[in-house]
Amino acid sequence: MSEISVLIVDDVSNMRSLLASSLRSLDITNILEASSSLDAIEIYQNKKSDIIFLDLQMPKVDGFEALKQIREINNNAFIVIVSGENSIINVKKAIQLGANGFIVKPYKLGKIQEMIKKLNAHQKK
Amino acid sequence: MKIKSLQSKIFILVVSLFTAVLILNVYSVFTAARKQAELLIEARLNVGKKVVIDELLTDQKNFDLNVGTIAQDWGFRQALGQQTDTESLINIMQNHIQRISGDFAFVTDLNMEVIASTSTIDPSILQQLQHEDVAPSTTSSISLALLNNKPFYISSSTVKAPIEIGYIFVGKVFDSSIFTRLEEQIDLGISLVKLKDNGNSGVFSTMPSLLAAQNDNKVKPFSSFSSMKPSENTTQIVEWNQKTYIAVSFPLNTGNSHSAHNQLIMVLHDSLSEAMSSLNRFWVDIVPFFFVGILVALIGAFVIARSITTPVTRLLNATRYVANGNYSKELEIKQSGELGELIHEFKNMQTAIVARENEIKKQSLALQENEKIKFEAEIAHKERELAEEATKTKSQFLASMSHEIRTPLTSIIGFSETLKNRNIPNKDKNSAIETINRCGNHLLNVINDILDVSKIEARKIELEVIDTPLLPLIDEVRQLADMLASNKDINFHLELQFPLPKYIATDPTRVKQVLINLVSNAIKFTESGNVNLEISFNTKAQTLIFSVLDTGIGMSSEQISRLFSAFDQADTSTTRKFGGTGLGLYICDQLSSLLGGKIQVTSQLNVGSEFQLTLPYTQTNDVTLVSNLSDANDLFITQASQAEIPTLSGKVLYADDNEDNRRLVSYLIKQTGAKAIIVENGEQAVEQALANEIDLILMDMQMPEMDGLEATEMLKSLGFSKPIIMMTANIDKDSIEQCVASGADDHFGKPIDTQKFHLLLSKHLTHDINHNVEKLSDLDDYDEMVNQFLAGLTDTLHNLTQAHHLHDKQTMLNILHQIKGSAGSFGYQNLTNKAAKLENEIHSQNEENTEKQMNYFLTQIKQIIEGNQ
Repeated sequence: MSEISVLIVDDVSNMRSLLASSLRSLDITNILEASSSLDAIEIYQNKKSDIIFLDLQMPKVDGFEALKQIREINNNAFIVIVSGENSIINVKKAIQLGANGFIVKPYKLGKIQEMIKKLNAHQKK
Repeated sequence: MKIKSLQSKIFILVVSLFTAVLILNVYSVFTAARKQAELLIEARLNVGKKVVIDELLTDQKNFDLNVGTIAQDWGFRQALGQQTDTESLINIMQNHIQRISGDFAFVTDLNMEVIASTSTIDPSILQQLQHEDVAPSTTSSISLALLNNKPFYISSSTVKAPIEIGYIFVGKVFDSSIFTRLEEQIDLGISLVKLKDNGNSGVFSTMPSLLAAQNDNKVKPFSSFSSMKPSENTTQIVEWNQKTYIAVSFPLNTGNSHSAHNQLIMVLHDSLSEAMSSLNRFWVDIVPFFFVGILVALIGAFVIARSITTPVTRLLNATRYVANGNYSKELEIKQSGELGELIHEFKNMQTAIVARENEIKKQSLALQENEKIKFEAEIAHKERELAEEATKTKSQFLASMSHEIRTPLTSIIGFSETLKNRNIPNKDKNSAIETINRCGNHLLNVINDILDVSKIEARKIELEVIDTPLLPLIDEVRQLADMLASNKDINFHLELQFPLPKYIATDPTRVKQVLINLVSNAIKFTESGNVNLEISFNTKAQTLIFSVLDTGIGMSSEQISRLFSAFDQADTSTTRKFGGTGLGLYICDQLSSLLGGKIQVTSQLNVGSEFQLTLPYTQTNDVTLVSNLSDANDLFITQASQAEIPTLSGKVLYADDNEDNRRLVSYLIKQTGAKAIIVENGEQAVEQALANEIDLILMDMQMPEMDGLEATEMLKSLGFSKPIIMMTANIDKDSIEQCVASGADDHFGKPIDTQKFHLLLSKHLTHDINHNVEKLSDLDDYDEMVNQFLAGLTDTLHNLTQAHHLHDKQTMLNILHQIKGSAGSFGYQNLTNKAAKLENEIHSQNEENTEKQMNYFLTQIKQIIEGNQ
């Protein structure tokens, strides 16, 4: 299996490094980080990562807008929401915008593993 | 239909004959026209030839006469005879040729040696002239010579003084304008062609394109001409430039010795193709006639066909009428001849049949009238009897049903009221609950039976035939029978007579229903002794035979006869004594005939009964036969020991809007040692499922806000990978299809059967044999809650550590608030106090103190968890 490339989008640097270290423990090292939605969209335009972990609550442009725009760039992108907000309104909105997964903070490593598994299934299709 | 085809056959025959004749006619007309055109052109060519020869001959004669006058000129003869200088000879000749419009002249001696010439004589011309043999001849004929590729009239005369002293030759350019004039006169193409051994060459033509084309090696329009004597009337056909020409040719330089070499010929030609093109006019003229002809043929054919088929059709229709028993249709005779006679004979036959038919009718009517009166009276009587009986049994049934429903309801209401009283002793409480439970189950059975009967009566039962493994189905029946039998002092035996098919195509639910009903009946009506279920496979008749034998009270033959009718049990007192609605056997009988089988009963009062269910064996793709008991045992589903509650670990999320169900399911889950998260609707279920590590989700299908289907769909679309089981009270096809469509992994029927529910849990959760937790059912509520709290501490510790690491103040405050509110209640007052303190520190924003306190607090929780393990 070729190496999975990951884009982590979160305005909190701690959160990004936590997720990155989780991913490294799963032997995934090809990781890009973005601290805002706008950065994320620009980075994604240049390099289409296999999976995007996207925070919802970010200043200025929120994760929903980033989700929408990344979908426009690549309709087949694999986008996982990582949010501390698991209210049904957010979940519904994420599904409407085509999120492929929803992880609630705080999360366990298993959830990340599950998403990687789902990504593999998605890529095989 | 047949008439139509006859008509069309005649029609096609006439039309095709007519068309064939027409085509032949047109073809012969065309051929004749072509021949005519050819003959016409040939005649014109021959006339033209004569005209041209005459014209040229006249020219030649005139010229010859003029040249003769020179030869007789005295001065000329003298000059030649006296051998005067050549200059005066030339002068004389020049004067003469000016007079007669000649172009050159020269004089030779008798040996054809040139003495004097008006122009320089090219030796080759002389040679040519010699060769052409133009020596003066008496016979007058056309003499044309080609000099420097120009045609010249050549005339010669002998010079005498008085003996022959020499020859004079005069040449005159051939005026080609004569051709133009002649062409107009004879309306034919004219060409002048020089014959050569290596292919002819054209010198002149009224068709310049012919001359131009001769340089093309491929075409060579003149190559096929050869010399013909003027007297010959032979034509040549020449193909050139995709046109057909007819031509006639004749020589122009007549001499004595005519070799083909360098001979000059005249060719007259006309295009046959052009002549034929005028025939196209002929086509335009003939086409209207052609179409009129076709039209006439069509109409004629139609009329002829009609005249034959119309009477035949009418005869056929009349025959049909007669065949259908209608004789009144009169036939008109319009035709004469054979057809007319046929119709006439048919009419006679019709009349004879009508007479006979009327006679028969009259007799049978009289007979019928008698019979009808008797029959109607009988039917009216029977119907009245049946209606009375039906009304009677139906009202009996209603009475019986209301009794059946009211009895357990009375118990349920009565015992539940006693339960309201909190002071009753535990023993009575338990027995009351037991009774309510039993009556509730009984009521459920009654209602199911009534629903089945009403479905059967309304013919609304749908079979769901699938490939069913036979032995597991039997095993399920056995398990239930074992349980029922163990409650009484009865032995239940299952006897399998091998070989048995591994799979049958049938509706397993219905087969099971029938078998369970027969077996539980047998157990119910047997006080002591044995109940046997024997299963065998008749390979010859391809039937499966299930026999249920008991040593029970048995039945009289009168009882047996009423056994399978609805609303009618052997004895109404039986219902009182043994319970049941009396509908069971009726349902069994109806279901087994729906399944294509039947039930037979043999019984002896006070000895026992045998119920035999025979089902047709419909084979599946797998036609394997099981031939011995050890194979069969492998196929039986491994049954969990009945009363045992599995020991499991994991977290189960359950969503239901019904509070009682929530309490029951929560209890049943916790009984196994697994953890339960209970929510009230689909929205909460989604939120919790995402925020927790869930191993299994149980979801009610119908809930307010968001139902189980929508929640399942949402979770599956977000990559939720753990199983989701839909709990539903309606297990009809529609609901199951909806379950599958939503992405649910399985469904589970309500009301909840404890044993099945535990089986479901043990299928999806991890079996935790080492987990040494005592069964919750053996603990009282307080201990249960303490344990839960302690178990939850591990998660709390993890979450708090994570929040602390992330400086997530809000989460930390939430967790601390929870600990503060709960720890004290479970005997950990110390934790409650610490949590309250930490809360304050965080609020006061004292980072240093917070850090210290938090580390201490986390260590303390760890110690509690470790101490508990």
